[in-house]
Amino acid sequence: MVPSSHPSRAAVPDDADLAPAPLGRATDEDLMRRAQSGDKQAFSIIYERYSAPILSYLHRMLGSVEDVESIGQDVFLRAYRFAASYRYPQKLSTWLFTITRNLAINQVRRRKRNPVRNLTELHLEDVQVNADPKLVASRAVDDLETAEQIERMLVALDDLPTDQKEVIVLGVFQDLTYAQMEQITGAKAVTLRSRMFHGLKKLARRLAGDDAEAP
Amino acid sequence: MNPIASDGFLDLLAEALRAGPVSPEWRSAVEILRQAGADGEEYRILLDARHRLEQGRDYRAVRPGPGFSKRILDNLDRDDDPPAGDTARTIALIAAAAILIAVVAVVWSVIPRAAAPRPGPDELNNTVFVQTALDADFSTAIPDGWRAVGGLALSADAGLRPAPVAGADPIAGGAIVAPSAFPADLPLAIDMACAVEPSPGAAMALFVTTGETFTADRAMTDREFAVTIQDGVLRVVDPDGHVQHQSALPSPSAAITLRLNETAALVALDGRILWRGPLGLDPDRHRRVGIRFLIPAGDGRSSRVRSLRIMTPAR
Repeated sequence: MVPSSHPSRAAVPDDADLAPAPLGRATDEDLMRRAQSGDKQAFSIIYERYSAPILSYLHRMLGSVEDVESIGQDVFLRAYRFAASYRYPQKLSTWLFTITRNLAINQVRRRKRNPVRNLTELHLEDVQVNADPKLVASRAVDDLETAEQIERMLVALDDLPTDQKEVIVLGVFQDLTYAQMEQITGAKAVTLRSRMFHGLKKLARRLAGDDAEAP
Repeated sequence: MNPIASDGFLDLLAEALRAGPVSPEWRSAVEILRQAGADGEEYRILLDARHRLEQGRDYRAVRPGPGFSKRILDNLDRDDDPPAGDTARTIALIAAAAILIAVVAVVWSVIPRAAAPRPGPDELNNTVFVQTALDADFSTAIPDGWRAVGGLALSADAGLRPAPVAGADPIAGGAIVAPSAFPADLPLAIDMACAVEPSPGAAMALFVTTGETFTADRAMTDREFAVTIQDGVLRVVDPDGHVQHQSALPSPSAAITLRLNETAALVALDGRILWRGPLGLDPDRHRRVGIRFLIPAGDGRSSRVRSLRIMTPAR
């Protein structure tokens, strides 16, 4: 997914000693430092690495494909345009998710609540979405009972309060540490852990088949 | 003592729930719960729930298709080439903007304004700082425009540092102050990269002040918010001189971030937030940013500031 305007491999000089280390093996932070000096190819690799996590985060938090498309584009355009504001040694993932979260919050404030489309397995021209909990669960396990449990959990996840859902999405689905989540959300680690416990407790109730609202 | 009643176990469990079934923390937590028997039931159901989530982690996963990716990367290309403007249209736009600014200025000066609520610390964390207001690299020289104050001369040689002194005063102080002051309602993100030397008694500070007058001997002002480094300890000091936070520096290389707005401040070290709270400076007075050194007489060793950058939000 290297854009046509980028130098191709054929453009790398034959003198391999003079060629830089392959960009694909560079760390996120090194790539970002190159992007800060205008290296668009480095940024396109950042995009390759982070487009799916960023778009998935947006979809899990906002639930609408329209938002995923519009904010997802905005995230990467801003990250490129304002690359200078990234400061090493901050982890690039933390910086990107902070931008994404800010844009998502702005979007929620801006828009009037539209009913979320009833998405099944969409294969749009531009993005692919796994939005049907039943389908996701049945693909994950063969056992029918376990699949039903997974499906109940995923449906319940959408109903969690935003702060509890966010820590599960960032920590569980995006594999971010509590320290990173502290920086992204501004909440302290002890608060984030508490939200993780309470969120999972609510999901566990649903797993046990108890659909009653938590006290 | 029951191991699952300890804080240590809860920390382990929190980490296990985040990291998931493949992590060492998960295995340790499961083992402890197995030993705890029925007492651990409450926590075991959390692990079960987390396990089911792991199995459903494809839920709402999104992968961009080629069309989406092409659109974004094409937009990056366009970002490099701002559209050429038609001259007449450009002049018309500038004229319209000037008229609009004049009208807004008149309305602003005529209509009495209600006091707007001041932004707090949470606002700081959600502010995106995108414009570089000042970027100083002290590797070879102090950039033009910085003002030297106090009795201790500073020089830039592989970082900003004080010159050795041999005076009667047991402590000498000197500072440099950024070329321009910043309005109080403009949030700032100040990043300072420094190398910390073990030099007992010597102190280095990043400070923000509303004062204009510096003491001649130690380059101090009457009211300032400071992040200091002394004897391997970072301290956050409010304008009343109270230490609001202190923690040991984990390494000799430190990246300090100070974010502030009208009323609040946030201090981070190497990207990790250490403290946030009230700034304590007059919210209506301009701020000046500076770097100060205080060293004992005769001591040539000191920490160094490699660079300092000040960012602001888009305006």
